[in-house]
Amino acid sequence: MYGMVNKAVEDMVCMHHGEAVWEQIKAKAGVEVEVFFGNEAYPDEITYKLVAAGSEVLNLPPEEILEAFGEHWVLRTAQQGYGSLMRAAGRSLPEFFANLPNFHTRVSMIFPKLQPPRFKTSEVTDRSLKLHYFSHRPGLTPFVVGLLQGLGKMFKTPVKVQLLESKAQGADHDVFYAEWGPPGMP
Amino acid sequence: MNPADPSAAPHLGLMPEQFAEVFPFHLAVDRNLTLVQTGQSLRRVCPDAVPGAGLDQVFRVVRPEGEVSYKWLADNQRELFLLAHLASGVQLRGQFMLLPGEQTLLFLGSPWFTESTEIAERGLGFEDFAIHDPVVDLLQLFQAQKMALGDAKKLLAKLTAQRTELRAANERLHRQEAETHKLALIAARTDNAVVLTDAEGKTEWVNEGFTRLTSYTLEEMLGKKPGAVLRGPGTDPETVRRISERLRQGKGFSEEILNYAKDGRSYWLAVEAQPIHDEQGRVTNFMAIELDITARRAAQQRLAIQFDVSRALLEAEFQAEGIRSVIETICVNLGWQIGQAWRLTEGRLRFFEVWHPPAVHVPLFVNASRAFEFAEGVGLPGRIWADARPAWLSDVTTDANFPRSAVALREGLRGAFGFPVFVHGVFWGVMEFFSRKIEQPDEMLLKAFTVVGNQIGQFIARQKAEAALRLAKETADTANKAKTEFLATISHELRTPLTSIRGFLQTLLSNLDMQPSTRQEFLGVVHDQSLRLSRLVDDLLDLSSLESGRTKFNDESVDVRQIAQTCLTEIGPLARSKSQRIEAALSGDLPNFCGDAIRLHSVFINLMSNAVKFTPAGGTIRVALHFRDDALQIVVEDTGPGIPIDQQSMIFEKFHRVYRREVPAAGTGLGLPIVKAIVEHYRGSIKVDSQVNRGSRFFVSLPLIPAQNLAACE
Repeated sequence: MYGMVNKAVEDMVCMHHGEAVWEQIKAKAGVEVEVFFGNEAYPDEITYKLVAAGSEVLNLPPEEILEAFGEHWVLRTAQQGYGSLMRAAGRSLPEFFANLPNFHTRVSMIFPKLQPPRFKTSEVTDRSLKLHYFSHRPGLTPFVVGLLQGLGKMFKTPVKVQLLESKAQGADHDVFYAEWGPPGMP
Repeated sequence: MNPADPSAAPHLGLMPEQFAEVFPFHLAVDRNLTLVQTGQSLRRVCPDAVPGAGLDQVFRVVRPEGEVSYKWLADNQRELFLLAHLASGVQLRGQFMLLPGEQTLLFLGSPWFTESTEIAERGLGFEDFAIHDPVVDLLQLFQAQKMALGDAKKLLAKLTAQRTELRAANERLHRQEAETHKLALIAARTDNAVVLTDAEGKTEWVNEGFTRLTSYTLEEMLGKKPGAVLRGPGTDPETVRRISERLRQGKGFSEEILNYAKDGRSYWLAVEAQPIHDEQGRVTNFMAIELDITARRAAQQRLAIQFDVSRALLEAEFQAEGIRSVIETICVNLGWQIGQAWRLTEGRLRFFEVWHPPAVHVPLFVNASRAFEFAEGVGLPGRIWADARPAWLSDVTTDANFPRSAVALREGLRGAFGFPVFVHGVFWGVMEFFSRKIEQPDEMLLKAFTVVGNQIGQFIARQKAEAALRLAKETADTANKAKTEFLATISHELRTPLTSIRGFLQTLLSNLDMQPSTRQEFLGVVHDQSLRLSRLVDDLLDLSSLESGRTKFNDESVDVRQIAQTCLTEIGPLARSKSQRIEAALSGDLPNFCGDAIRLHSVFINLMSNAVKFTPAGGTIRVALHFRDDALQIVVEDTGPGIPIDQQSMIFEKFHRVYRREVPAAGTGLGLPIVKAIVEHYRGSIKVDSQVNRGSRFFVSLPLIPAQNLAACE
C-alpha cells in the first residue's frame, strides 16, 4: 500500500492519542520506518501490523479501528493532500459515486504501483445505490464502511450503509447498500 | 508536431456539441479578432469571454511576444500561446489554428494551474475538463510529488533532529566516557578502598586501595559480601545491624566500623556507601568508599585516655583512689582486662593497686602479683624501672623475663604494656596492663602513656604537697591552741598563789591584834606561796629558755653519780617525812661525762621529787643509774598511784597534771616538760611505763659523751 495509508493511520492515532502512543504501536508492530512517504509503495503487511498493534494498544477491535480509519481517511487525510481531487470528483454524493470509476483511474495514473480496489455502482437512484467492492486485500470491509460514512459527512448527507453480501462469507465480492437523505440533513 | 494527414481530415468532422465537449475551453475569433464562439467551461472561468467581445478586451497574449493581429496569429500557428484572462488572471495554454476558408482562427487549450487547489477556487470540477485533458491529473501528480517532498522534508527534519540529538548524545557519551575513565582511574588509584557491589551487596569490583588495606584481591572478593568477609570479633553488632537495615531499604550509609584484614589485623574504617540507581530508579549497585581511620581513632583514643586520666586524677581525693581510677580509665578505654600499679618501697617494686572489670575473673594472677616484688630489671615492672621508659610485651606467656607467665597463661592473659611514674623526676613506680589477646606493639600508644605517667606523677606530687600542707596546718593549729591554753593555764597558775598571799595578808592587816601563833601560821602560808610563785616563775623562765633554744648549756666534765647523790640528799627530808624508803642503785664505775651540771641536776631532782611527791606515805622510791649502749641510763621508779594509759602521752606537756581524785594536784606542772627539753637537747629520750595503782617507772637515756673523749670537756 502507498505510504499515504500508513501516514493516515499515524495521523489518526497521533490526533486522538498522541505521538507517544503511536511510537508504542510502531514498536509493538515492529515497524522501524521513521517517516512514511505518501507516494512510496510499502508492503501491505506493514499496514496490517499497525492496525493489529493499534487494536492491542488501544484495546479496540480491529474492525472498529478500520471503520474509524475509513472516516478519518475521507475527512482528514484525503482533504489535506487530495482535497481538490476529492472535491473535483463531485459536487454531491451521487455525483461522487458517479465519478468513482474515473476517480480511481486518475489515482492509478498518479500512483502507478497502486493496486487499487475496484468499485462499481448499480441500482442507482436519487437516494440510494448498491456499491460493489472488489479487492484482493482481505479484511478491509469495515474500512469501506468508514469511507462511505466519511463521504456522507463530507457532503453533509447522512448515509446509512448496509453490507448485503460479504466476500468473507463466501460471496464473490462485498456489496453495500447505501441510502442517503437530502444534502444538509443531519 | 507532424502535419496531419490532409486526406484524413474529412473523416474527422465533428458535430458542434461533440466539439464543445472535447474542447470545453476553446475560443474562435474572426478576422477582426472578435470572439465568435467560446467553450462552456471557458465561460465558467472567464464569464466575459462571450461571442461579440473583442479578444483584446478579454485576454492579453502573454506569449509569444508580438503585435497581436489576425495575420500574426495565423503566422504563429506553431507557437504555444499563453493567454491571460484580464479580469481573473487565469491563464490559458493552447494553440491557434486557421480554419479552412481562412476567415476564422480557432484556439484550442485549457487553463493552466500550478496548484491543484486552483481548480476548485476557480469554480471548476472534473466535468469541466475534457476527459482527455491531463491538466487535472498533472496537477494531482504535481500535488502528490509536492506531498512526497513534504514527506521528504519531514524525514529530513526528523533525521536532522535525530542527528543533532545523536551528536549531542555522542558528545555526552564522550564526556561521560572521559569522566568515567577519570573516575575509574581515581577509584582505581585512590588510597581509599573502593568497593562496588550489586543490589544484593555482592562484590563486583574492588580497587587496589582495598587490596592494600585488606590483603584480599578482587578475585577473592568477587560475588562475596564485603561485610561477611571483613567482620571480626571486635566489630560492633549494632553498627552491622544498622548497615544491613539501610542496605535493605536501598539507602546509603555513613558509619565507622572495626574490620579485619586477611591476616587478622584489625583496622578502623569510615565507610561512606551510596546506592546507584538505574533510569527507573531501581537500585542496581552500591558503591562504598572506605577510609582507614585507625590512626585517627588511635589518636582520639590517646587523647581520650589522657583527658579521662586527668579527670579521674582531679576527682580523686586520695592517692590509692586516684591510681585505681587511672587503671580503670585506661582499661575501659583500651578494652584491656586488668591493670596494676607497683610502688617502689625499700628498694623493691611492691604491689600497690589493682583494677579489673567485675566481669573479668583473674584471682590467681592478682594473688600472684600481690605475692611478688620486683628488683630492678626483673619482670615487666622491673624492666620498666631499669629502662625508665614504657615497655610492650606482645605475649607475656612467651617472654623469658616475665616471672608471672605461668599464672598469666592459666588466667588467659597475653598482651601487656607498662609505663613508669616519676614524681619530681624521681622514680615512684610502674603501671602495667594486660589483655586477653596477643597485642602488637603500638608505639604511639606507648608515647601517650609516657604523658599519662607524668600526669600520675604530678598527681602524686600534688597529693604529697597537700598532705604536707595539711600536716603543717594541723601543727600550726595545735601550736596555736597550745599557746592559748598555755596562756590561760599560766594565768591561772600564777593567780592561785597570788590569791592565797593576798587573802592571808588582808586578814593579817585587818586583824592586827590576832593571836601571835595564828599570825605566825598565816605568815608561813604567805611565805610558802611566795616561794611557790617564785619557783613557778623560775620554771617558766627555764622552760621558755629551753624551748626557744636560748638556754646556754655550760658543758663541762661532770660527775653524774655525784649529782644524783646530791639530789637524793635533797629529797631525803621530804621522803622521810612521808616515811618513804629510797633505794638507790648508782653504778660505781661511771666516768665523768660532758654536760651541764645544773641541767642534769634539774633532770634528777624533778624526777625524784615527783616520785616522792606523788607516792603515798610508806611507799618506796628506787633510783638507778647506769652507762649502757653508749648512753647514761637513768631509771626513777615509785610505788605511787600510777598514770592512766590515756594520759601517759600528755604528762610531758606543760601544766599537765594527772588528775587523781585521791591525790591533790601539786607542783607546777612544768617539771617533766623541763626534763624532756633537757633530755632532747642531749638527743636522748624519756619514756614512762606506768600502771594505775602499781606505780610508775621513768626511763631516761642520755647519749652523753664521756669527758675524756672530748677535748673541750677536759
